Amino acid sequence: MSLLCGQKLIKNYYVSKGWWQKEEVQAVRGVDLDLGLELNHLSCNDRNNNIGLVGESGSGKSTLARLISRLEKPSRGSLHFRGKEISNLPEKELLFFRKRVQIIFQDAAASLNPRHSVEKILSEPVRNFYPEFSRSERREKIIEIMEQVGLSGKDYRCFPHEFSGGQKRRLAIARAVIVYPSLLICDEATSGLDVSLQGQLLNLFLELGEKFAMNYLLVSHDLPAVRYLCSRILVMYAGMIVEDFSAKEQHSPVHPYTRALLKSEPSLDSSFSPQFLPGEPPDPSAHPTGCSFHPRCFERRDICMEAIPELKETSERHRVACHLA
Amino acid sequence: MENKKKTVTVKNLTTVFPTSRGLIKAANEISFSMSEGSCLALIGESGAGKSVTALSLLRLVPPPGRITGGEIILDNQDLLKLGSAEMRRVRGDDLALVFQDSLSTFNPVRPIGAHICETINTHRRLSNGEAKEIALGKMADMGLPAERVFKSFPFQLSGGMRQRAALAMALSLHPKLLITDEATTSLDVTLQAQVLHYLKKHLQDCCMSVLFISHDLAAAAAVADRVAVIYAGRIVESGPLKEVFQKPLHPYTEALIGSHPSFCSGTLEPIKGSPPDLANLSAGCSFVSRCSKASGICHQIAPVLQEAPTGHQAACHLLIGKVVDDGEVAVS
Repeated sequence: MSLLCGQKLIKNYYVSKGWWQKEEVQAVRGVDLDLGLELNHLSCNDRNNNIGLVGESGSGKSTLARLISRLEKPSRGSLHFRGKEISNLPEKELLFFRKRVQIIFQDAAASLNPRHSVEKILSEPVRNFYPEFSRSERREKIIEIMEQVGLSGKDYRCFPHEFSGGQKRRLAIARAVIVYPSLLICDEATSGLDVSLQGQLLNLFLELGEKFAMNYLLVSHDLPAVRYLCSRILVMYAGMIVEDFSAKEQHSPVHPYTRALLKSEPSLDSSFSPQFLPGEPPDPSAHPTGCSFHPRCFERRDICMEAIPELKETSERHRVACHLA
Repeated sequence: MENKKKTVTVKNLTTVFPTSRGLIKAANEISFSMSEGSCLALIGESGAGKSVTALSLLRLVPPPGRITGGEIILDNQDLLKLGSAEMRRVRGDDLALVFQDSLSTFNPVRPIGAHICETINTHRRLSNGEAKEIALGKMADMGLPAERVFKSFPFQLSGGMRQRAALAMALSLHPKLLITDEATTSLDVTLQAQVLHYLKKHLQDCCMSVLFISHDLAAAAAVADRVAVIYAGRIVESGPLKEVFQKPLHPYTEALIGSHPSFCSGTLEPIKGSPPDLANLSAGCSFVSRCSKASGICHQIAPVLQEAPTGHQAACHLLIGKVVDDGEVAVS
């Protein structure tokens, strides 16, 4: 049974456009995804089941992360967690799901209450999920988890502002992993950091994943980081998944967008090729007809402008949504 | 490259900020020079002094910060000796700066075209029509739909287009030196590739120098031909791009490359610890607390930049040993 499985997930937002007018913005437009098989906790090993979700800004990757963590209800579609439909459950009945799936955000500083001490921040999830713990047991657990994410356990009385940017991120990670989730969704959790700090965090993710038998869904536009941590990469464009491929087995990507994305990434060894994608990502309130990538695609045919390509399996563990694949 | 005319020479530039905890040397004896048509990448972590160096070159250091010494020679004149009116003439004309945040570069209630024309009209006696023509030409050079962007307001453009418009504005008067301060950092890879492409193209077409400030090693590798690595306000290593990235001499550069996921295969080895407190620097090398190879001398004496045979400089006590080990001639 799969851990988390979404079918035809759709999320629309309504933006007001002057008096009486509303415009529909389609952020996620029918995503089918299956986040891995249920893992045997003993055999879970490092990066084998981590999934990366990449795409440009505005492609809907953060919205998708919020949908599958059930921070938002999908407009349509279903979401199953271990076979149980959760897309419409009220918040109170979601506790069992929250214990297994946690999320951390890009701006760690903003996700920590500045007026709460570390102990208070970290004891909240423990109170929720382990109500039987006494005060001293809670404190023990907090100190233990702080040490595991590389913070000093003595600092549990401090407030968030007393920590540096990297330490705040570690604190946000500690708050998420303190309940031992099976899946941790990281929404741009390593973006906007210095390389050394980013490297430290990526290694911490690997270490914690191994220790707690936890998998990641890394939502990022940073391809090297995704490739480092994840074995499977989902590429999103204009609210849809256009390619799903394995990073490890060196499947060469097929979709023109994925190839362009990989080519536009600067690297040290090759002299930077000037091939970049012309044009801009589509306006989410007016998606192009047919394949949403066709206005920027070098290889488009007539069919691309008419029919939306389906995400179909081309080879084992490789799915592509392209008429040419 | 050596025969080309030097556009900018910076010597021992020092910028300090007085704080309640003492004097912070945010830029400490920064020296570099750039020739026509070259691009120098200034790389470092946040707080290393990259942006302060950029602002110091334009003499825009926010008070109470001040430049306490050094020389910035552009076209045989020392910018630090100019009066404020003369300095205003240099800014925007000979020296241009592109910031990271393109949304706050532009005034939100004025169209893009008005900004570019204002820059041109401030420095040149031209009619509005001529200024518009220059602006449209520059925007077309940056691959923008010029007529549309000219009339657009900043919020109507995407981040990549806005950043290219900011670049067009900076380039509108053919500056001798363009400084891009983290200009591609907040962009997506595809948009970053666009901006880098146009920047590189312009660099080849015009005789200008670019100081490319970034913490992204890969982006720097894409445009620069020389690299200077800055740490705790000092340049710790500088040299040709290939030399520095392939055979780093300073342990910090080595560690920086080792912590980048796209350059390393296998496990990442990020630098331990965090950058030092600038108000409380030790007497020795500022990297000593994070350096895996530090020895006794590193704690006592601050190293100075030394020339290695490859035309490559590094400020490290271990450099002497390293060069000899490689079987090459030691420090000159």
